[in-house]
Amino acid sequence: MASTRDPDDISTAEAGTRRAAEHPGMPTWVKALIATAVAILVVLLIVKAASGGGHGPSRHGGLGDSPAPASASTPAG
Amino acid sequence: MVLGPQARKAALTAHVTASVGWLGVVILYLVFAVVGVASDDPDTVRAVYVAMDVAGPAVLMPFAVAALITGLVQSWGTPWGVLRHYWVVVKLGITVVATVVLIAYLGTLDQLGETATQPGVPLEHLRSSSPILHSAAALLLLFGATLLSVFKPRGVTLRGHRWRQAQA
Repeated sequence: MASTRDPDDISTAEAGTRRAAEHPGMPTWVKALIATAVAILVVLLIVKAASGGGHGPSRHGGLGDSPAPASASTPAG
Repeated sequence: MVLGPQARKAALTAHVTASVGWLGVVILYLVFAVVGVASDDPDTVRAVYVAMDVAGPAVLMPFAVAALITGLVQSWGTPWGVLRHYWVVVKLGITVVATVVLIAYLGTLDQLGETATQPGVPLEHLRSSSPILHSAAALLLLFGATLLSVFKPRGVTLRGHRWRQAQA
């Protein structure tokens, strides 16, 4: 069976083997994902620095960090 | 270590179940979080924050940890490997980050739940957009992980490349 192979096929196969021996490198989609993740991380760090570094519900606009005193007479609602 | 066909199916079933469960609970959290901000009914608002506080460590975290562990088993037990393919590495990274952020966020949920049980606290002090942001971000991450699982984009790591050559 091997004797029927075209010489071009053999050279193509060898070239393919050589290519297979080399690592093709990081795919574009992974590079794009890493760039996006780094950009989001930078934005989060900037937001954290701007908000004083605290973390809690109030950081995102809520008021859950500052409950009223237990003696508060304001009715719920 | 490569699992046999039966064990592989069992591991895959466990991983899909845990992942789908996690995704479902996150969707529920997003609904609760929106209701907490938008509802006019004080009892409903308090109820959703208490529910999120209770379900965090009891439901959400177990599903997240289960998805992470079963995912690792699934990777180790199949030729995909843990660090051989970029899509597996990225998916593992997403799962680890989401789980770590979730564990860190349980404290905030606890704080919101505690506040919700205090009858004297007005709703304005209770409502928070934080759970909406965290749930939406988690949903995006988990949807991304799902896409990776389905499409399995090409690309082997250097470790995976060497493994392939050693197998040839």
